[in-house]
Amino acid sequence: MKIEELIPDNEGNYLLVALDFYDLYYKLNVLRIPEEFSDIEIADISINKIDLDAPLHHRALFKMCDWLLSQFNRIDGVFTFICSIDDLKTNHGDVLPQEYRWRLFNLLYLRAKSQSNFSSICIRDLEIGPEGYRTYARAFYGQSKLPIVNLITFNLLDKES
Amino acid sequence: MEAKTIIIKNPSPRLNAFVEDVLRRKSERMERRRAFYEGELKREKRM
Repeated sequence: MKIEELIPDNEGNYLLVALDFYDLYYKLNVLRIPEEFSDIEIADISINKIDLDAPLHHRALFKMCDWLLSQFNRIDGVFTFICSIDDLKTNHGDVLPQEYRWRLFNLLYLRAKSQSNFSSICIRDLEIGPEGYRTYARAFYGQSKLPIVNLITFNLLDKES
Repeated sequence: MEAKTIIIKNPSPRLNAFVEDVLRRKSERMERRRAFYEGELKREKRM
């Protein structure tokens, strides 16, 4: 399952945001969620500009946050954002693409949090990999999903498996 | 409700494989989607 939204910045560019849901096979075999809990919806957030060479007005990013929040409240599952390490054109050439994405995403999160009611939303942050190759991930979930998030985290971090 | 960041400097092969797989699929899907919408928007503009 996927849900996507094309968001205009009203200056000629668009932001594409998508939720890609993990299928049953992935939930059972990769994330190792017990079958009785496998109906939980887990989606990864993807974000991209349509015209990669054109600037994007920040209003599109703010609209994206509203859209993501509405989807989160509607779906009542777990959302993840794992920062892509793909190249990215920015004015900050000394910052790794994934770090740039992480900083921007976090700023948007902090802004949205200050404007909306996030009291029921928990987050878990992960930094994965050695210096220089590190990427970043954040999971959003409601309190009732904490045991599942703990289980997935444990399974993924388990060095013995 | 903020939790402390979990830092994994030496990821397990399992976690490495998971992250690589998610990022690869994300990258492929998003480029396909972006190219599709870019084409559609250009087509719309020409009409």
